[in-house]
Amino acid sequence: MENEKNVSTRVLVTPGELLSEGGLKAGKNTYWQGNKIYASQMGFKSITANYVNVTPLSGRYIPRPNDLVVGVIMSVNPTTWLVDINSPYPAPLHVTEVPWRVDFGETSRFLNTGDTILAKVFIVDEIKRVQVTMKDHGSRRLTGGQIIEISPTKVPRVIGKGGSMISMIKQKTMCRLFVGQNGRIWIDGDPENIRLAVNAVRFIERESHRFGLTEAVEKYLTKPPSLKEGDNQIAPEIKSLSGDVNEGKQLREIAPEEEATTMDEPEQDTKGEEKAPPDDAEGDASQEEVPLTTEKSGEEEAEKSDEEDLEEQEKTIVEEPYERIGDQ
Amino acid sequence: MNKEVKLLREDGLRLDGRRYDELRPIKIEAGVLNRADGSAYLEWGSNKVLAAIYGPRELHPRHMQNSMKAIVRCKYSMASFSVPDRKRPGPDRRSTEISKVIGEALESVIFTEQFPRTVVDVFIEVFQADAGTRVAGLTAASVALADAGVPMKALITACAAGKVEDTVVLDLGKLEDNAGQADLPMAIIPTTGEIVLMQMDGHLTPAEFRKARDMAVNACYQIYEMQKDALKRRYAAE
Amino acid sequence: MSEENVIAEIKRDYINNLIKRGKRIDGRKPDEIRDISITPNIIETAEGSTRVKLGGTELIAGIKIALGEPYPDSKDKGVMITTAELIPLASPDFESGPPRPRAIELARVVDRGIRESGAIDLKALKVPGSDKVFVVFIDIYPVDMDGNLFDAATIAVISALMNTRVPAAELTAGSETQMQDFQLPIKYYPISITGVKIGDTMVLDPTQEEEDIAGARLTVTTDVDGNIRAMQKGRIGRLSVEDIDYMVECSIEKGKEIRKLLMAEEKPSVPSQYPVL
Repeated sequence: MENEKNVSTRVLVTPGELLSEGGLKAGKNTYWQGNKIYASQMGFKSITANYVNVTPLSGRYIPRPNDLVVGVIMSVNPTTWLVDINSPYPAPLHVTEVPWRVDFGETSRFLNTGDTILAKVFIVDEIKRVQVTMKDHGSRRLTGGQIIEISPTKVPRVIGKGGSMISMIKQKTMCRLFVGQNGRIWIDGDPENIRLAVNAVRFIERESHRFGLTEAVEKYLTKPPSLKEGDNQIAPEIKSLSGDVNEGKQLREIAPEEEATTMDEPEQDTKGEEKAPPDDAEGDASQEEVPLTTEKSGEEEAEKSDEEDLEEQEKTIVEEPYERIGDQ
Repeated sequence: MNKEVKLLREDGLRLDGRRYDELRPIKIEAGVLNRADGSAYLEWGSNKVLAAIYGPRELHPRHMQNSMKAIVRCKYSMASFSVPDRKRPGPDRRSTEISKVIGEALESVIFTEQFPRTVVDVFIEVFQADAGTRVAGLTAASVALADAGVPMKALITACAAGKVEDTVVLDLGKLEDNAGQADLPMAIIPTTGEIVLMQMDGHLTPAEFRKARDMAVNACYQIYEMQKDALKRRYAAE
Repeated sequence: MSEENVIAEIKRDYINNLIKRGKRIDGRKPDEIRDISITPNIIETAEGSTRVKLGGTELIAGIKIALGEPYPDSKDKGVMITTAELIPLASPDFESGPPRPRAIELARVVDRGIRESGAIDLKALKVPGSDKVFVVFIDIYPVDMDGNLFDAATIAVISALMNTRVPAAELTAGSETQMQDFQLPIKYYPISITGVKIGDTMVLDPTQEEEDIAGARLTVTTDVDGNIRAMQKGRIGRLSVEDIDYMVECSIEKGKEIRKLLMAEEKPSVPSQYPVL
């Protein structure tokens, strides 16, 4: 943070506020006018590699290619399902985009209205027509547990730096969690623990702009006695389950070496989080939200209009299979 | 015009004790509702206004969608008990017109092209009406839009000026509005000074108009600070 | 919007499974009511008003009084008219336009509780020596919808009526019988309690999420003496006789608690006069 090129501030800006009068480039949630850069959204100002950005505090989920989302089937048609991805844009899921062989008109045998799925956004065109796919080894139908919705802008905070926050929640609540980029979170475990995890997520959502969030959440989760008493017996079972689900999907968004750390030594990662000011969410966000371009994303996204941005991302997908996302 | 009411006092102040260029007290709070994507509550003099944003969200019916941009839909309405004589619920010609001009003013700053085929719904409900409900409503709606995280060029700030007893005054109160000679509600983009809403009725000389306009614009900068403050207070630590 | 209202089966199952264990998503017991906050006298342009927050549900009731004609079959009584507007500001599920059945049902259920309990002494609303009576307009505006509008509205309306001042002086000015302003006479304090059936359990004061997945709904309005004054069964779904007995019991018991709260919040203050400016 001492590096001039990466400055996170606690400066709150509102739309139209002047961010820079020169020397910097317009990043996320900003716009140019004349030779000045202004905020286009309410949020915290940050500077990353010569780009001035605004980390927003609210706003709806706008799908981007490669985002992993939690969707709910809205309707079933002979060759597609329509999926609500908690966005202004419902997304069709075509029968060719599921891991099963589905005959014409047989769609409802596989997924029905109200079913919840893990899916990946794979096409967003220039007028925001979206398609999702389940042809990804992480994707599947979700059963059991509970799903809740949070502001998509808070997703990076729930995940935490290098997945530290979510690892801590999983560990403390013994729940399985999957955080969709669309702000929908699936939580599974013992009902009491689910409630605890839900409360922790709500706590983060409420307090996301504060300093020392990780410690606050840790304290929050340590307080309730219910965890330590009755519920310990189920812990091993849950843990083994979390082995295949959590790390399989959620943490894949994180670079491989970090993933390992997060799984084995979550506490250490938490310390890493402590050092970084919480408003460094932008750094988080680019890592979490745009899994395919961890380092470049800030720059690439920053200087382009949305459309160009999308083109760029789509190209990247074609060139790089999803599995290699973490390679940087 | 009611000649019996004296709106301006001998001491150079107005009936309610304000200077000619003084605003009524204004209080703004952002993020007051759970269900809406963004919201704001505003008290301005005796006006009490709530604004809520839903969206961008999917627009039905489909044929109303614009594949190039989001539609901005504004609905301004007044609660039946917001005025001395009960108002029959439902839209009337006045509120339909106000909705239209407010919606247009807001659309001028929203980056609608980022959300093709969607709608941004702006709902303004006046629960207690004094004078100047449209500028109060627009000022609140703009805060609500920012609270909703809708990408926009800038906040919009609105204020009215007018003329009573041949004198140009700022922000007419109810009695001044009823007995006054002119009303000039305006909205500006404070960061550029551009005007996005302007209506006028009554009688103003060109010189009076310029004076009233400048008065309203100057007041907008004061109100703009309150809008920003309301938004920032919402996220201020502790 | 219709298609967007699909409820994830996971949520449905989760709520149902919790209820089977006697628990709810927000940690309440099935017969527990959310926190209530009552703020009277919030609208100066109304003759009476109250804002009620019931958990995440927020609602404003306002009272206006005007002079009008009595009903032909009760010429010695004032008139009350209840209207509810489900303004789209309050919920993504509410749409602009003329009142739909849902708004009308809400208004009528609240109206029935007030009317049938004789809450307002309508006889006191006749203008002496004139054909005219005072008309009490009750208007209900939800502003934030998180379930159970019926109970929030009933509390707000009865509270608003309690702080209503009849502007008789102004309304009768110039007529033969010049009257003085007076406090609207309230005789009874009806309170409604609403429950929905989720699985086999009656759940009181449901949130939006609970209403979304619930079966039948039952509202029971009771008075101070523990008598039943109005009822309404709603939604698709069935109730057993036991469910209904249980709801009556709950309504009497919970009604007492809410009435206590109502009396504490409602200082017998007279609402501020019209702003004179």
